[in-house]
Amino acid sequence: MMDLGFDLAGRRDPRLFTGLLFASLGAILEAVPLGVAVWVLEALLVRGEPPLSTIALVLILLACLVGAFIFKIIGGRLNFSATYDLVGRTRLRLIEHLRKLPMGVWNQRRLGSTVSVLTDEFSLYTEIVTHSWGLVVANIALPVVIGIVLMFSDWRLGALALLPVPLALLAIPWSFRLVNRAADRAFAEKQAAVDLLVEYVRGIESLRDLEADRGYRARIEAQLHTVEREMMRAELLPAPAIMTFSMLVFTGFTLCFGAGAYWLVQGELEVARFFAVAMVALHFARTLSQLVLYLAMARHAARTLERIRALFDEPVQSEGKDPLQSGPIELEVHDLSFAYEDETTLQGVDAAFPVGSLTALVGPSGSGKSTLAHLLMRLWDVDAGRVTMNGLDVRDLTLQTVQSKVATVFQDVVLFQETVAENIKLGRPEASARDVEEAARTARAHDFIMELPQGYDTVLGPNGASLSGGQRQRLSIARALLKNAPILVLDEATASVDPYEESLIQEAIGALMEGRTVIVVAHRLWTIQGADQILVLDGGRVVERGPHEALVEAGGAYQHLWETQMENRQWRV
Amino acid sequence: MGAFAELLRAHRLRLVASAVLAVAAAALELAPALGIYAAALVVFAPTPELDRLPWIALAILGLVLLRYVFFGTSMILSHASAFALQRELRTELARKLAVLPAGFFDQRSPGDLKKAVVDDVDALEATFAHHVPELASGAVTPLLALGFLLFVDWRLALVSLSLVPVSFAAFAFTMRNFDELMAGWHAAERRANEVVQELFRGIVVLKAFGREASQMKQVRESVFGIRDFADTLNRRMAPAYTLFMMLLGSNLLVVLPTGVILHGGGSIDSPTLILFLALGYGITAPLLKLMTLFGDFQMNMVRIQRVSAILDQPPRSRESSTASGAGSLGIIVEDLSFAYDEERGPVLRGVDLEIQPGQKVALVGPSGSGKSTLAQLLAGARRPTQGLVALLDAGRRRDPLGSVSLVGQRAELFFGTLRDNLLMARPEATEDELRAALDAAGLSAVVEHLPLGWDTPIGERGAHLSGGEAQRVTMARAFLRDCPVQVLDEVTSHLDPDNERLLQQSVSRLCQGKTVILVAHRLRSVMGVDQLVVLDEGRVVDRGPHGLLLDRCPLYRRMWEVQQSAEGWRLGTRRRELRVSP
Repeated sequence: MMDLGFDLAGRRDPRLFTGLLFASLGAILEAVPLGVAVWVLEALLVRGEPPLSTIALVLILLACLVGAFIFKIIGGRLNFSATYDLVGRTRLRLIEHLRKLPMGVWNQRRLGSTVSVLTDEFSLYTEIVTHSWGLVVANIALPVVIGIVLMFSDWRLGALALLPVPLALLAIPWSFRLVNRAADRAFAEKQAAVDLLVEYVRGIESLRDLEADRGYRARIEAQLHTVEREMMRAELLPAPAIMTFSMLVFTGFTLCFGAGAYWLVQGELEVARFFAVAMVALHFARTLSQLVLYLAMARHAARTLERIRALFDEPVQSEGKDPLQSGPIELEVHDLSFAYEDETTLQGVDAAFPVGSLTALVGPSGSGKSTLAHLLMRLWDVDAGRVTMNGLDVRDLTLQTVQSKVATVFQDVVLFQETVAENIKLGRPEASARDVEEAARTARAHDFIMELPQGYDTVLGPNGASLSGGQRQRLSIARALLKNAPILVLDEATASVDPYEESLIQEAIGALMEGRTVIVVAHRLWTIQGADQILVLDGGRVVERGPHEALVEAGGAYQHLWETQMENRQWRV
Repeated sequence: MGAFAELLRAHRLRLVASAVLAVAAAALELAPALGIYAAALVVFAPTPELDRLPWIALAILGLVLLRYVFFGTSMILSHASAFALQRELRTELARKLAVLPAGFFDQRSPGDLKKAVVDDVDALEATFAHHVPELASGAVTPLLALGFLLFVDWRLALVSLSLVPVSFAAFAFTMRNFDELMAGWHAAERRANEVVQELFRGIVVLKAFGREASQMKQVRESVFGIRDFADTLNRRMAPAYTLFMMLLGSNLLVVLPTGVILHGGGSIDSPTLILFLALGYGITAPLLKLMTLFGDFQMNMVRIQRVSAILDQPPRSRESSTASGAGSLGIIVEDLSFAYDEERGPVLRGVDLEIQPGQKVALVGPSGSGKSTLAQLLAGARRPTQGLVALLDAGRRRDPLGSVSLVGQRAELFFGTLRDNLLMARPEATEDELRAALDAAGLSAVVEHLPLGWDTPIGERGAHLSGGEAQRVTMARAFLRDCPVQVLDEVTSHLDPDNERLLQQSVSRLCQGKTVILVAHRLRSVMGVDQLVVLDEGRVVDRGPHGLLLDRCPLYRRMWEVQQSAEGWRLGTRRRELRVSP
């Protein structure tokens, strides 16, 4: 039987079955007039007069119509309500599940593909499931009833008409298998073409500057040709199987008709019965062959369902229960190792971040300094070793606890389509307007906020599109100020902001650091000369540690970085 | 004629053939019912020739099989056209995007363009592969059947149609609030999509601030909002719609009683009655398919319009010129103004500049002063709203496009190998030239570490290159192009010291012997250039060498001072002695 994924909703809904019952009754009542018609026809042909009065005939037909109408309405309402409810619940359960994944998985690509499953693909899935439950499943009743009528009219002819049906039904899984294989290939090729196209569209301006668009288009065109070929294959391969279904069904009719004609000639079959059976067999074939139209839909639903089930299978971050006293937090990492996508990024890292200290993480790009910062706030879980707060493994604490202790300021600032005040209040929802303004002032954001059309009540565009990089960063600092967490994880870089912006951000960060344990991912070494300790990472290991004065004399990696950077500062075009 | 229509014209024959075959297949769909009628004519003839019956059975079988041959061929033709058309449309769209004016891209986000190139073109498969043949056959089957019935007995034929007006009245009733309901439906779906997207886009921040729960509340409301709207939709539309569907398939209700009466009165014979029951029952049902198809078809017309709108855009003007390579060129800018759109007002106003061949010029100024926009105009990537930007080539003025290379803030890598990424800049480059460019960009050491050397795939799918390495790949491209004028927009942002040094070295190399325009935030790095152009709010405030500006330009002096103090900044001071870690 078709898998529609109702088990994923987390609850059963009896309306599914009552709804189906009513819809099937409706379908059966729709089939009755056909039975009446052949009954009347037979009587007319045999005795020359109808078996009942015209009034009675009209009343019976009308009653069937009205009855079918009522059953269908009731069934439809039950089915619709139940399926929309179940599918909605499935979507929510999936979202609940996904939000418990380690946060580190949410990179750009992953975000795009998952959101597309949760939105567009889910809408399509919803439409297919809600419609196929009510319509397809109920409509199966129609050919079944007609088939029964057929067997009762004349079992030999009925059997002939039904003979190819099992074969025809076998064609369905056959066609599915063919489609799946070919469609998977075509889908992969098409995805490759879409990736190329999207990249072309995104990068068109650079490509034009380089005058490289032509070369890139040649690649796109080659891929588009492959797609065309594979799509055609995916369409053609299963076509015989799909046509076989409907062809076999009509072959059944022809068998029935031919045998009937033969027996008629032999005098073994009444004329009237012959025509009655032929008529029923014809409608049987028609209604059955219409079901094939839904097959493509069902297949599509099955594919989406596979993707949904795969998402449900991803392991979530476990949560502990231990509470943590409010107050200062001693943060430590012990023998920490972590690999991402099969690449080891950290190995055997030990470090302590005493209360109120300033620690700088430095090293070339790819050394693992950002990954270490991410692990401290439990964006990921470590593969080996532990991160502890006041001696407790963070995995034994609730996520909420861990996250309430750490504030972050990163380059990549996420803003929401709400007012400026709401965006700042994210740090502390119960904050008053005065608190918000005070935080904004301290973060050197108040002045530019007041220049916005509605000040603090200005609703930001998608991801704060109209704000400059420096302004966004100052909003995120205001947010962190309100949150007032004891630990601050900071990305020091302030790329592409003008000198004014930079000095404002520096003042704001200075205020934010006040009284907190600070871990900074540092790029410009001269800014961290005052750090309590500097951890120098290379290839995922801590290769040096200590204060600036000691490291700069040590003759190791830090000294090299420092001297290079000092020379770079003197560079002139 | 539009570009879309022109593409379509090439497929005219195949599409027409597909429609004709679909119509023929649809006509053959009537074969079984007509076979029953033929049998009735034989059986009820005054002198029945019953030996004809087996032939009728054979004929039905043959025609049924033939129907699948026609149908299959029609589908092959329509799909072949549809897939080819999709390919051609995408190729054309890609070609078009390459020649549109830069202003076009300011009006549309990459998301909008992606929608046209990917989603809209995708949806057109249904139009050409399915809608065209199915519309043709959906209309033809009932029409042919009706024609035949009218020919056999016009009274009964009209009776069998009598429910159609009632059914359409029910349909009209269903549709009375359709637009409004559909708008509500789409709004509910869009709302849920937005809220879900917002949740995951911001999930790290929401978690960090413990605010996931409130966003989840919105998600829950919006998802149940869809369900509740579906209920409303069902309540308001289902009764009339169900009636409409049922009436279309229920003409037995009128055909059977009327047939019985007429047959009893002797005005129709038995074969006619049999024909009407076999063919007339459900004759109007295909109309249903026709209507839903027509709805889809119309929806896709909107998509076609969207795609056509791009295809029919006028391309940017482009005067003939290519990089002459040798010798450096000067640049002249006269009374230049530029606006991204009229609403937001001009970003640059009345800019005059003259850059001598071989000069090094830096554009400086606060954020939003128009530096990057001016750089793009100088490179010919954008066209002035007013005024002129031209290269001076031995006294002659010419278009900058093609002779100026622009290296921007974003280091864009594309799918493909490192070699592909380099060859983009000059497809005919030899192995030696590629190697020289890699050397000049300080990339040789990086290449050695890549598993497949130059043939290692890079970019999002391939080997990871750091920001600095990616930036140097774009530099290597600039070396390969070897344009006489070089525009560099903020190429040295925060990199680790080794990467920064390599990048600085390659910038110095690239600038040798060329006319160079730099956009710079770090004043110190450009203090030695021939000419600094200070911009503020889209105007040139002053220009000259560093020393002169420091003396006479207050804005420049302030920028310089602020930067000096920012460079002395330290993150906190040592606040406590560290315990010895365990």
